[in-house]
Amino acid sequence: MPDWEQFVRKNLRLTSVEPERETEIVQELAQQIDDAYRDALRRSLSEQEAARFAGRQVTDWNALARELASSPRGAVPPLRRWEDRAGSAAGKQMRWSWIAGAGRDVLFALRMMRKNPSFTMIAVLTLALGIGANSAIFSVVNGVMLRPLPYPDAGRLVLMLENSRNQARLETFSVSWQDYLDWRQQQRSFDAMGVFRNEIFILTGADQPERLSGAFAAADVFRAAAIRPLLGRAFTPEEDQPGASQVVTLSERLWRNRFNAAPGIVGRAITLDGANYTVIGVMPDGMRLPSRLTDLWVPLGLYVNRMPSSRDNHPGLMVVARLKHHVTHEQARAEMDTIAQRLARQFPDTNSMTGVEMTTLYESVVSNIRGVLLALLAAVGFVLLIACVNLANMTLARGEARLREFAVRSALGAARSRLVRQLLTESLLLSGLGAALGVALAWLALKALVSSHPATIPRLDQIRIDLQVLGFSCLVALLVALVFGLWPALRITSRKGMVSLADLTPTASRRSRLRPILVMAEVGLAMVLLVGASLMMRTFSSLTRIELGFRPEHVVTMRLNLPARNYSQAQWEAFYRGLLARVAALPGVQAEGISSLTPLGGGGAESGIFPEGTPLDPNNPGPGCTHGTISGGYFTAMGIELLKGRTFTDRDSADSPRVIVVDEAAARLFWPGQDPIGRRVAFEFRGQTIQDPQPQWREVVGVVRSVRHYDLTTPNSRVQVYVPYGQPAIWFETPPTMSLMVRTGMESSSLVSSVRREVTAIDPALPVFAIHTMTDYVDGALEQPRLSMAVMIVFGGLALVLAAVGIYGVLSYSVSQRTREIGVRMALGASRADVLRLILRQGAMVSLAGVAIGAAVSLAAMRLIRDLLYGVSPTDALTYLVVPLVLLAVALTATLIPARRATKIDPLRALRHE
Amino acid sequence: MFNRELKKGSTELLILALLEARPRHGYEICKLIESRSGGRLSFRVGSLYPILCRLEDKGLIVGRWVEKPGERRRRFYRLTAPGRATLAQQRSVWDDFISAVNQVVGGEHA
Repeated sequence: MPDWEQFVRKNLRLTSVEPERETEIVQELAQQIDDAYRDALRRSLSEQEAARFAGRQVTDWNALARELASSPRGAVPPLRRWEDRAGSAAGKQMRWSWIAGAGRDVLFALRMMRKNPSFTMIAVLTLALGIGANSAIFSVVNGVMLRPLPYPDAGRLVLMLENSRNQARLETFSVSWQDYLDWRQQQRSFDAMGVFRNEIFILTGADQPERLSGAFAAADVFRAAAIRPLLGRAFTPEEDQPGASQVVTLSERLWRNRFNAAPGIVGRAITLDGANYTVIGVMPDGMRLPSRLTDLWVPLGLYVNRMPSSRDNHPGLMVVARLKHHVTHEQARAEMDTIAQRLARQFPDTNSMTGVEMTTLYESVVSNIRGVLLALLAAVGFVLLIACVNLANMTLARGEARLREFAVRSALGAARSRLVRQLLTESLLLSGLGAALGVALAWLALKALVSSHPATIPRLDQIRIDLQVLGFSCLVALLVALVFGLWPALRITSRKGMVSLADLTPTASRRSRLRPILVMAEVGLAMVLLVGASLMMRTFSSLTRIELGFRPEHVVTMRLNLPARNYSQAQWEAFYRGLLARVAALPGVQAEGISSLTPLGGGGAESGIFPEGTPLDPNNPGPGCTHGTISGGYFTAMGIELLKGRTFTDRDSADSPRVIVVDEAAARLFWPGQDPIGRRVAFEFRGQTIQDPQPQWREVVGVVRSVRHYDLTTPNSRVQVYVPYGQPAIWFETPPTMSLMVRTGMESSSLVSSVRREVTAIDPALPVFAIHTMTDYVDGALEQPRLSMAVMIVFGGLALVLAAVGIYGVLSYSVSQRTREIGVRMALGASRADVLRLILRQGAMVSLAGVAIGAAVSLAAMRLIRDLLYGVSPTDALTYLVVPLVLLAVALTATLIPARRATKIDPLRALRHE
Repeated sequence: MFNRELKKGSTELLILALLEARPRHGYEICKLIESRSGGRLSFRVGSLYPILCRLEDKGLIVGRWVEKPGERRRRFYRLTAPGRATLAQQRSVWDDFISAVNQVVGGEHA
């Protein structure tokens, strides 16, 4: 059946008829024509004939339209008709048009903005700061947390480590080789399960020897990652087996930077650690296992024969696996737990307490930073809220000033919806401009952030302003416009808010109770942000005052890695003895030492440690220790205080009794109240089983201060012990990378180049890398708290300024509204001081109420950032004392200006307005 | 059959008369005019509708959307009190007019 309504709409061109009336006309005509159509069908006409009959019911559409338009019913008032026609681009032909109306609203809004440039500027700037800060933080959150990892179906990737199921002390450690083999064979939950381990390689052959971070990796690592090589191929399962050929896969970065993206790289030979490897492929940038800094991969097969034979040894292996499609994380976890329990029964000596630690790859990347980001997101949301409150306030105040305009327009027949639409267009335009400027600000802020290369933000290269961020900004702008535009617009145009023209005398005073409440909320929000900023500052200051255990000033460190194939243990020792002697002879060197660990810079190794006289019980493995291999000068160079006994000398060699230096924590733990010197401990075992551990005892010769080794805030969970490099700890496969520490009064760069010269003199193929001062490492550990503190201070400051502007705005408006009242008071004998007090009291009430609200909210909110704090309680008394004082002082200043203006009111002039 | 001028002048009367007995909808009015005049008078929707609007504007009739069981929604028009008065008055004017015309036109037979 034909759609007669559409037929009528298409033919009938009504002008200057209200839309509601138009709909009514169309519906009735359609109904009548439809009646005619059905009537014709009843008279047994064909459908086609009936439709023609019905269509002929109106012969002259234009005449009909003219006749209908002459009806007074539903006609548009003449003024509106003129407006519509003026605004309509297509002129007469155009019916009521939304687009044309919107265009007119925009033009009008632009005119209003031009007329009031200071309002416009403050509004746009406020919005730009609010939206910009939000866009910046959101793009960080988006890049780090929301954007999926660069692997296909990345949610199915998991990382696995092992842990001690001892509930009292949960420790995570790398996977034992034998356990991995059993997992891989027994599991049914994963499509691929691969193993990898970080390795350092030295690339020679071209210019300077270069240290590369690489990994040996099973073929399944690439299968799990599901990343296709950019060139060539990834590893095959055959290359997991012993006897694999010497091949290597390069990262895209290495291929571009070091080999100039040579297209013929596949098949070429490169020299790593002095041996030839054939390049078989280039992996794209997305391949980030073990890390985004990995330069190259070599096949697992080259290492299989060197894997430790003991299941108890955890040689730094990590497992990555891809879940099968129908398997959930919980199912996989349950299966891995079952396997671990089976292994525990099978190998009670080594595995009775060993469990599987399974995390999603995503979780392992973002877990460290999530808390900070969410806190910042909340903070920046507060800033935006304050900006909104300010703008709502300004819009309300300006709306009241524009009441006359609205009254006139309303009297001329403008509907409320039109006035609301007009106001909403103005706020949308303001927030749109604010968002544009805000995104520009965010772009600048992000550029600064990314170029400062903070190492503590993962996936830094993913942070950028993209469509998602722009979409977010637009959404925020829209919401903001609704919050600060729609609500005041509805208020102003409400029946209560509207006044008739007659009421609009210049002195009509209308007191709004709402605006002080808004300012109160604003002060409250500012208080929350300032409390957050203050707690962050206190945290940072606590962090800088942490007892490090060493003196980082004037210490330069650099690393050396002697390839095992070129250096036997005796040669290794000889190299360092020679190097230390050469460095000691350099001018400006005050103390020098070597160490396998760098406090706050990594290195060192861990194992269980047993003092002589305690049973070696695998179910109660005692405390772990971090052990370092050092030269005697290390303590002096690092400024680590020797509390008791002696440090190492050249006489502590392979032929002399084995010795050890322990830290104060170990001394306290093992021999409380007794002299530790002369006692014996063991952390190395030559035996394969717990029945025959063959502990390698060492005699304690000295006690030193404990050092913050892993990070600043975690108190050491392990004790620290040191052994002389003449009697190094048993090592896995390769000698440890050593750091050279030099305490100097000199400028570090000239020292570094002379040290480099000495190294080259001994071994020209040896790269010196990771050149840092110890202060760099400390700064690195402080980086994230410093960054969060800086951002919080900026947000807090922003909040303070916005709140001050809000208070100032409300009070100056109030003073201008109360001019007459104040005039009367002064005429009746009130002094200037009385007037000043009057206004100040008003400001103080609002601010105090805001501070009270803010304190209450802060007490609840700061609990949420407890994890980010250090050395300060979330309810820190000093913070809750100082922040309100600062806030009140600023509020008072903002109040003072309008208050002083009130005292200058001339009673005569104020009254003459009557 | 009859010329336009004649029709136009009398249409309002026709409509009011048809609504005297009971409320009717638009097309029904068209049909009734046609059937009662034995096909000599006929209106299309397009010409009747503006007249309905005009009568409604004058307050002589009033239209209302009605949905009867088993039928589609239609707009029914009924006579208002002023409409009834107007009908009575127009009817007598019409009668006078007809008789006057008849007297002139058919003079010889009177």
